[in-house]
Amino acid sequence: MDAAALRRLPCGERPHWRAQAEALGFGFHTIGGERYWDERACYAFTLEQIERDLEAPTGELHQMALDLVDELVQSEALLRRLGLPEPLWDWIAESWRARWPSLYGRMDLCYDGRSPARLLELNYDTPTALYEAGYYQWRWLEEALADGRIPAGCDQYNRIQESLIETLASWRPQLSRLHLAALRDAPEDAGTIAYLADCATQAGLRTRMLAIEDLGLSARGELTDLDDQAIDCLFKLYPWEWMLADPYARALPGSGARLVEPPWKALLSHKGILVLLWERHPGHPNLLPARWSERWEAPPGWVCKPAWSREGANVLLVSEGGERLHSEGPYAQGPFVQQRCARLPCIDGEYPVVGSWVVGDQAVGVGLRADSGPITRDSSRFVPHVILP
Amino acid sequence: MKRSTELHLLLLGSLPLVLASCESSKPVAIYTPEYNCEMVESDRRCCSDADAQAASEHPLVAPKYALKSECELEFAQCGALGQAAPGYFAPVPAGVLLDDSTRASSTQCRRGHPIYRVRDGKMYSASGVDLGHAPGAREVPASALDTPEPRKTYAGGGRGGFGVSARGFWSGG
Repeated sequence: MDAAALRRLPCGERPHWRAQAEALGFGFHTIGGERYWDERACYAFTLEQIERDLEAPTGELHQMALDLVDELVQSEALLRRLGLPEPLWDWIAESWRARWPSLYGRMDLCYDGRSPARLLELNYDTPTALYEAGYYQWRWLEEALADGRIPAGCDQYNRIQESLIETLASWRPQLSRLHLAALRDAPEDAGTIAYLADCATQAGLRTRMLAIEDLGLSARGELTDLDDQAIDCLFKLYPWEWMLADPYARALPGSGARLVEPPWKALLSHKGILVLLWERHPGHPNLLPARWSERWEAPPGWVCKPAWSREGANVLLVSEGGERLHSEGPYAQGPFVQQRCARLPCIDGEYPVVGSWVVGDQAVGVGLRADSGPITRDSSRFVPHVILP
Repeated sequence: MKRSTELHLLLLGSLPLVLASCESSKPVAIYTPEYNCEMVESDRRCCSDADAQAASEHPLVAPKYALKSECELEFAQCGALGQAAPGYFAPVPAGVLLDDSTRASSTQCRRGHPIYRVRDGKMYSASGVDLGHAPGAREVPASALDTPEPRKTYAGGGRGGFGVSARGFWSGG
């Protein structure tokens, strides 16, 4: 085992980065007056750490998640346990049997450079931080190398954008136009779908963007866009559990539209997945022990999370010494899952989480987010990474 | 190497990141009392047809106000509406928008729709789309031509059936 801890390498900001970020469509580089993109330092990995500790486990965990989907769609008891609406079970299962393609997903890993990376959770339905990981981080590396801000010969684990374009291009024979939708008034989400529209255009697809709220339903039951054109394929940056609870949910199976991420990804949004993975692979080095919980409570050394939650909201962390830390949020309702606490490494006062990207079933790159506290929230900063020569 | 050797962006940076504006545009022509119909339409018969269409559509589509003063806060000139909506005030049409897409061939007339001028001099369609200050032929957002007639989406279906679970706190994952 490589004994080198994950390092944080101060490298100095490029003086023009804010103007450049804005010119390149990265409008949310600063949030609430605070840096979201933070290039004052970068995280430095060895190639071995990347390949052995992040890339290979990501591929393995992804396969374990797909195997679990295969089991879930065949088990009424498990589908009931996850609480998805029963009238849509068949459609969800059919989307899996027909292998409706998935574009991308992100798994969040706790990794200190020394011990095996541990899966904190899957963000397989509506992962964000894609543009900054896939494009802007790459752009930063090229310029930081040219400026001599980082050692010559540094590399980066990042084939994210290239893989997005390849995957989208592989859909092209059957698909000529891709609609992309995000909630209105969510600028970061609009940025994400605009980036995907850019990738899709490079892949040779025609694209249209619209707000989730503007999706229409025709008299014939088709999903429609603002020009009342039927939608063949919709990328929706909107959680499946909400989509399935919305008034038009029942119309989805008959709409003829293919959705991305596919309906079967709804199964992987539920944090009960962490329990089911642990039950099937007890002691796996990349998993943390996890179990169901009826209440928002945790014994010392455990974390409690609501089954449906995002952005690190409503997480309760109880330290080995019994100290309680929790984040606020809107997801107060159960059920809950408890997960053994994997303390994030604290490096120069920040707590990084590794977001490991899967595009078209391949592990293709990472993006790190660092927070000033041990629960990573939507306030965390995106910090670029390098692979040392 | 673990990274891509070459990446670029095609659209980002030039794309407005406001979803409502990511729509297609349509060719139209706009005329006003000062820049009259003959400047954009060679057939005088089409002009009188378009005037009549816009006038009959006006009471149905104009923004309506209970008080004249309320209307005048936004629009340059307001007046009482006729029988279609008695007791209401509305902006006085400032011109007519000719919809090119309603003309199947160059010998046919284009349909006319009323447009309204706000206090700063800009013109707006009845659906609230900014048409700028200047008359003449040009492209406008397709939604400028939204009319009160039932569209396909609304016929037995509708909009707004997704997004209601978001409850206003959502931003990605």
